[in-house]
Amino acid sequence: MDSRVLTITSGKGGVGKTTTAANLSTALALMGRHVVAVDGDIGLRNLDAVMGLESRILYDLVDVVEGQCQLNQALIKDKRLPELYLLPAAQTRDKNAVSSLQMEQLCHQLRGQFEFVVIDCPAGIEQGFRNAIVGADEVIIVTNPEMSSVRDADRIIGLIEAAGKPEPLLMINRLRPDMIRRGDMMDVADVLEVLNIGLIGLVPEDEAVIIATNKGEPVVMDPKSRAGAAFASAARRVLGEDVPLEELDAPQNLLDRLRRLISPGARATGKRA
Amino acid sequence: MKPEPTRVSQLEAPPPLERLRERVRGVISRLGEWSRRVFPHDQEAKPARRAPERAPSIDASMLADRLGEAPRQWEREARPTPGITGPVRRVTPALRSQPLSTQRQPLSHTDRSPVERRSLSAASAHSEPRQVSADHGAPVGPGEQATDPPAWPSPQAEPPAEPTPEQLEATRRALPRKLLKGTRNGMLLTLEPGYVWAQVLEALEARLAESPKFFQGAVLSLDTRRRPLQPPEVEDLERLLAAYAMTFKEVGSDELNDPRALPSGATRPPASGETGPTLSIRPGDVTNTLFTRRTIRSGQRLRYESSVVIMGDVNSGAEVIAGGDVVVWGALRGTVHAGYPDNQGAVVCALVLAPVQLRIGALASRPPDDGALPPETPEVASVKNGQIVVESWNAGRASRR
Repeated sequence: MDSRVLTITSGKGGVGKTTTAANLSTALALMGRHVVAVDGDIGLRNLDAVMGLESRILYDLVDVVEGQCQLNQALIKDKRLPELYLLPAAQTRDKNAVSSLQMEQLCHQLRGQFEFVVIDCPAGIEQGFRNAIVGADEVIIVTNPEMSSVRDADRIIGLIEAAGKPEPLLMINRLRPDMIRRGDMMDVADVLEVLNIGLIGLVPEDEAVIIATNKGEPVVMDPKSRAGAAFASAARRVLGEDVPLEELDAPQNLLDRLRRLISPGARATGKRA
Repeated sequence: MKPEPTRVSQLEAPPPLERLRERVRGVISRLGEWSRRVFPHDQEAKPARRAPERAPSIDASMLADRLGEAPRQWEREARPTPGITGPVRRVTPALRSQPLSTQRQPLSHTDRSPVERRSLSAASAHSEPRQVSADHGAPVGPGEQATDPPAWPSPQAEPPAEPTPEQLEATRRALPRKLLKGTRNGMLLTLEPGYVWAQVLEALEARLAESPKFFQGAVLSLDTRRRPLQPPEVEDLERLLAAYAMTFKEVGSDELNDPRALPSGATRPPASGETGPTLSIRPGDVTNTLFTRRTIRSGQRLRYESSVVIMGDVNSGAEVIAGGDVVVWGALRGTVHAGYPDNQGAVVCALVLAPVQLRIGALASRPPDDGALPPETPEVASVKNGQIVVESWNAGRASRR
């Protein structure tokens, strides 16, 4: 089976790696692929809570790596989708509990059972990051359209290239079209100007993401959410489909169109803030 | 009045459409505000509804007042009582357990008359409680003076040395012929301090063998006030009584002080200065419990071989692993494993029982999927019929093992 190991990383914390990992895994499973989501953030695990499976954890990744249990005992089946599994991290250990070699062996084992292995990388550039990318075939970098996360993403791209991995793909998260229109936020072109890698997804800022995290249900399962739709399109692009990028700035209703007629904003008139 | 445009700006005058836009923009921006409120399905991120301009501005003097107030408020809230609504009832201690007068005074029948009591009260302020306890039916022999009780052997004492021949002889003489007394509540065996256990056991065995059928299924009461029972002795007794299908129970002062329970003269009130006899430690009690007053934070793990009592919370992401029971005097929101590794008789109690996962022995369970909030009353989790069951804790009801 031609399995693919995807690592979701960013460098900067809080940009949406765990959300992206959970939603991409769920979207791929919704399309019928066998997926395992691996939480690489040992000590600060969150992927289980975002997917709503925290109460089902008996064994975790550190137990598997230390030989205290079999891999199948630690894998948790998702409560909604039969094709989706989760390998949770440990909460009471830290990132030095697992070595890069052990992680590589684990990825190799998971490859044999699943079509997609989606690894949620922790923030930072230390052992946790190194463990998460060591077994990766492809890397997706998540960033927010603001200077600090773009700068950290740039650093990460350098480290990934130095590790010999293929060129990563970019996902821009938490876009706010109204701010971009006003000129208060970096737009997609500005981000690509710095990072200069291929784009795999554009996800707008959406309250539904916070609500979904608290409920333990990935937002991609909410049909009304724009962020959910964006994650679903990104998953289709991962599968190779040619999905056009979202027109996040499209007017939502009649009054929006009327407003733009009167006040097109800085971008339309060519002025930059 | 509109400012005079300069020549430069006249050269670069914006097209008429732009000017129209500028003018209408002011009107439309107000319309836009209105529309955003009226059409809430607009997908743009809206500013927070609670606009900051509504908050009262805090100036330095107000801050000083608040800082002065804060410590008092914080103290009040420092001991929240989750789940306990209404005033806390204070249970008045039973009068019997009140300490008696520390002053030793001879007590005679004449003291009980009200006239005499008043004269006595001049001498000792504590005579009142003594009278009260006397009225509660704990008769004292006339003229008897309270003396220091013999020192009780502590339960943790080393095993007694081999009894000397003199001790053996003394015990044999001391053991009454009628070792077992018949009472209203069954058979009573009183243990006196000088008794050698082996002899007592021998005498008891002899007595029981005299009429085995008579004792079948009976309950033996043990008066251990003056000589508490050690755990190995309990085992001996259980073994002996098992042959006769008998059980035994240790009786404390409550039952023994009932004058109808025992023949007269055999009862004594607790000596002055004591609060009453202490119960000896039973086989099921745990003597090495860990008691800690702190909150266990996410990512911390508390492992202990025996029972654990935590005065504080166990936050989500924390783990408590105990060989015995777990009692959390606070909110239990983390993972708990009682009776590790395979004791399914352990229980988990908490003021707010909302764990991520609850394990007892080799069983694990998680909260119900309906997402209901846990009730704000104390609850206890135990294993019943091979399943983990969570029940609300009713005051006074002990959980069965």
